[in-house]
Amino acid sequence: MSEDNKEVDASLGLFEAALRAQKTTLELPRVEEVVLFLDGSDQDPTAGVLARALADRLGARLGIHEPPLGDDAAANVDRFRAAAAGAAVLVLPVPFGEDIGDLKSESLSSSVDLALAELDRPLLLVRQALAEPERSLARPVCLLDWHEDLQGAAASWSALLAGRDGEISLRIGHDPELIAEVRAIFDDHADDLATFESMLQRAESRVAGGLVAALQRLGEERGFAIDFAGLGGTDLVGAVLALTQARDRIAVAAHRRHESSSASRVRDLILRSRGPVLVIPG
Amino acid sequence: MPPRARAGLRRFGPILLFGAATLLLILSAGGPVFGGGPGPAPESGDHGVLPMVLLGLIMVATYVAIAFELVHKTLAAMTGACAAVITAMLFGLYETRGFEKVHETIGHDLGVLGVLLGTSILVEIAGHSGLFHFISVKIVKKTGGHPIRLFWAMAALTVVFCSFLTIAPGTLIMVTLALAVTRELDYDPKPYVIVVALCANSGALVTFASGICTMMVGQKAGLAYLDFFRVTTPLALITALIAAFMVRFLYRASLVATGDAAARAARVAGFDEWALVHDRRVFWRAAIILVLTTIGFATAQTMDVGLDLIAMCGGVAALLFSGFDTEKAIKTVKWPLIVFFIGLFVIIGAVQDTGLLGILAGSIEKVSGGSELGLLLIMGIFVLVLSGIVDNIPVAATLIPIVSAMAASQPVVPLWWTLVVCSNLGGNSTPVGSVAAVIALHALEKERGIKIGWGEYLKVGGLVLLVQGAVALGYLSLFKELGLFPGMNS
Repeated sequence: MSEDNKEVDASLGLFEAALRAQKTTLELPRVEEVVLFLDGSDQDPTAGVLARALADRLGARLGIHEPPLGDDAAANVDRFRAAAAGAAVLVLPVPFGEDIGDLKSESLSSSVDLALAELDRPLLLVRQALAEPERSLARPVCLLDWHEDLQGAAASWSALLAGRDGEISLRIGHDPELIAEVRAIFDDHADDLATFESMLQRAESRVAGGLVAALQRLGEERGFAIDFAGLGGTDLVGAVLALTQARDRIAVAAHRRHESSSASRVRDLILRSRGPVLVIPG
Repeated sequence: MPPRARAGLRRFGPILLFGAATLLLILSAGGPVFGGGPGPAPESGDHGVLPMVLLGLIMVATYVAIAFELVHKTLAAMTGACAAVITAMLFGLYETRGFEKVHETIGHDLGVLGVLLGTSILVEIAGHSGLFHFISVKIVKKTGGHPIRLFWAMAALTVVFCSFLTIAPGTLIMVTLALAVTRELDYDPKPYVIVVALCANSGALVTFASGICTMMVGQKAGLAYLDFFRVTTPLALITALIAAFMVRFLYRASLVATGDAAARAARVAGFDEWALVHDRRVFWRAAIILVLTTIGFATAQTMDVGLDLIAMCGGVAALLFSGFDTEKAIKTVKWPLIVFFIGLFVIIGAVQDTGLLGILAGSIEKVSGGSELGLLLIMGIFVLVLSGIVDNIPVAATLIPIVSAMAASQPVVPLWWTLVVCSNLGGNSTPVGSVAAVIALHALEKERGIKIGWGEYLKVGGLVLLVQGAVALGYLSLFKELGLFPGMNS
């Protein structure tokens, strides 16, 4: 009966989301300035184009910080902090190798690592060039954490980017390591594994129910579209990246800087992403 | 049957059957072994008693395997089909190789398969769009959570949803709604789940496309879509009301408002239907396509196009414009059901070629003493009883050629409508009689650990069917006697 159970769980998950939805209010962030830091690399032009597009989209002024960043990560982060005193988004180029498999573990610079750990400002990390930056920004793919405050932060920023003509894809799921461990435990019990995965999806619908409802209302009011999916046993970061890469979209994720699981998930997302990633500190 | 014997039969039965038939085929290589002789296949019913008996036994064995779940029903139908084709070839019923005849048999039923395939895709997408979940929570909020109002809302929504989505997806939505709402409000889920299971079968009577048996009989008999509104829609409402009133009465002790009414109303008002809509574009497009397909069904006869074409266009439009993943949508089509149909049609086609079904039709006519009304009642009761025991699809599929065979000697329009009504309602009597009851009882046990056994279900479902059956047969008899069936006067 595993297929029947899956259908029952999916439908129950939907109803539980509606019946137990937490009232969620989304407040759109206010951005006064987009601050671009150049690092003297080949990525500077890409970062410049995206920072300009972001400033235009949000109706903010653009500040460009030159000369390029130095080798001292702590000094660089001090410069970021000083520049981001107001309601600002920081835009940073992040090196990206063509062979992502080899460079994955070392492709973030120490300055970016430190900035992710210490800054309480949103960071837009720019990677490879985009064909249509404006269009990419209007179609964010939002990675949802299980913490409700982080969900709200990521969704609010996604709504701000989507504006009146955009679309947001919301995805909630789990870490692949956890899923792999559970799969190994249930290796010989296909029915148990199917039950586990369908229960995960049911829980995901329930956890995100309030946020989905709030975002649908906001979307109805402002004119942007939303699609939501709980991924069950599928790799969350992988699914978000598949969406961003297929259609050149920006990824948005929120994290708690001092909480290892959300911080490592966001770091994994940045490392594996070819496109821009907006990181919101929770 | 002891579990070991059942397991043994499940494991080796089909293999032995298939092996024996294949051996006979090898031995007879080059031509049929029993009677018939080489050359073109003789006319139906011209092959002697043995093939008739053997193919009849294959059909009965297949139905027994389905009824007792000895093997999956699709596998049972496929095994039966293989055995039937091989047997038919051995006795010279089919020409050399026989496949052309099989293709021809399946070809006659492509209309039914087209309707099934198109509506399956459309229903899958509409069901997952959140549209029906959204509407149901909106309606639940209107009841304020009052147990009686909630109960009636559940019954009404079940009829409406099953009429649009067919029984299985409609029941799934309504049963899960009943389980979720009763958990939130701390109500006994039993009366809500049972009323859903019983009203679902009435929902299948509302339109041509509301139920699989309805589609199958409607397509084969050429019943017009709009005629369903004249004949079966009123009966769907009457039988649903009977079910709801009786369940309401039988479970009156459970349907009592307890606790603080204001707190309950506030809790229900807090339900948020927008949490059910995962993509507004899919939501609205599914609604539009569903409405357009329904209009297409209603006007198909005027436009002189088949309902299979409308269903396929609806399915394709849903795939094109809903944004739903095509591969996922096509994968979720009930392919085992479609293969089950093909197997069943092949078996029945082979049995029909022996002339057995024509003999059965004649015997039934004799039992009725030549009375058309008597025939309607005998067939109605037979189908009502049998559909509670065996899956109603093989029951309807077998009776279709029997009713067709009767067309030579009398008007069969009332019999087609009787078959539509009774094959759908018959499932109400037992917990395994209809897909609605199977889904509802399985979900209740899985989610709440509440098991409704045969005894309890028979008390409710059996009683409901008794009243529904009497009313339905009275209604159909009245239609017949007053000449109200569409096409009766032409």
